[in-house]
Amino acid sequence: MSDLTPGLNLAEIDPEGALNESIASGVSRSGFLRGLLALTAGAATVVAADQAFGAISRTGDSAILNPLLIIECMQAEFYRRAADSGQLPANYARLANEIAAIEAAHVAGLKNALGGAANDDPYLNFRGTTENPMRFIRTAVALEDLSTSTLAGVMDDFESEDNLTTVAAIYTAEARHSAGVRLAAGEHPAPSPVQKWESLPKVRKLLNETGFLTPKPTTVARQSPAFTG
Amino acid sequence: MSPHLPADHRQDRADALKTAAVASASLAAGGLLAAALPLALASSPSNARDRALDLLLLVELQQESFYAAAAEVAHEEGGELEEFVYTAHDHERTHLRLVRQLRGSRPEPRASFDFGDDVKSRESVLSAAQALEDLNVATYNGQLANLDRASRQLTGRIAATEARHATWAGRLSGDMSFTTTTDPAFGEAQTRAEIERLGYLQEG
Repeated sequence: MSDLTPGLNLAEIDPEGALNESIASGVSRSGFLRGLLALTAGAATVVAADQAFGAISRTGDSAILNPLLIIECMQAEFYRRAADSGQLPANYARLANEIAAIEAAHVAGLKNALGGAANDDPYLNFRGTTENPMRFIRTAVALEDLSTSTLAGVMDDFESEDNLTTVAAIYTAEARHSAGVRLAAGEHPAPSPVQKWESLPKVRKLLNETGFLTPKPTTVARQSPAFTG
Repeated sequence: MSPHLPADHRQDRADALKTAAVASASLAAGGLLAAALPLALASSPSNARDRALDLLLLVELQQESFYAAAAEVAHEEGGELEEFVYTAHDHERTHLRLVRQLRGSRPEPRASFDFGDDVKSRESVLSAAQALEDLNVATYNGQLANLDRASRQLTGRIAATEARHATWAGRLSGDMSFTTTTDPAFGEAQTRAEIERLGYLQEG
């Protein structure tokens, strides 16, 4: 995929700013704090994406499958939390519930393909997008477009025919999701004759910009526990 | 939904360059463009890539012909059906052009189609469109492994658009559910059996 200029930026997958808004909405609506939080989220999620994309230095199909796994995990968890939130209207809740089950199956399929090479599940913070109907559907559109574009970008990279077949079957199902959520959001379901694609380094950058990937939680002991035995 | 379609000029240009490069390679290897031959004479290429692209050409020809035939009733109905049929037809013409570029100069299968009553009403058009789009998705998925990497990347991107069309047709038919966990991958025999079952192909 190195011979073509990547075709997406965050504004294109997120034309209404749902993801950028989600980054900024967690603490304050003020411009100053929004900017500060965006910077903070950016720095934190670089670390998070480095953890999530841990296989980037690996070679072969696992270097492709692990980033796909992260995106599928993100989608599965996004829809599951939205379906469970109790804050969405019935049509969105049903959509979330149906797609959550499918994304969970995709996660299982990719983990099966990866075997022991699968990365750990990412830590996620959807920053309120799973509870607000408008932000939910806009974020769903952005995530489905990102997922489909990512899959489009790796179809010529697989060494294993089995992995190619597995991912192709997921890829077109994701395109169906993208069309369906776009229609639910009042957007065009098939905006171009051929699917846009994105390179993995660009996807990594876009995922950082969502702010949804968070660093692995850590705890620090300030002192040794008192011996009570 | 907006009736206008946003153009993806950067990727169109990149696609054109990429397919032109692939097509040029095919031309260099394959010689001059030949006239169309009857399907029976043209359907037995010796290598997997050629067989795969011939099959993809056949299903794209079928789809493009279908939407052309459905244009009349779509225009009469107007609204969402018209937007769907006209948009899908425009996309299928692009797909046909891209698959032809990938095939290069080999003689092209000659095929004609008769869609009968399936292009006479809104309901029949949407039902047939879904069946044809699903068939194309399964055919593309089944043939990916038979293609070289450059062809695989482009045909995969076409397959995703076919899946979008299938969902769009389903929504216009009132099917609002998400039920496809994974799409099937058809081998050549399965695709040809489905084409026969649909009954639109009239061999030339």
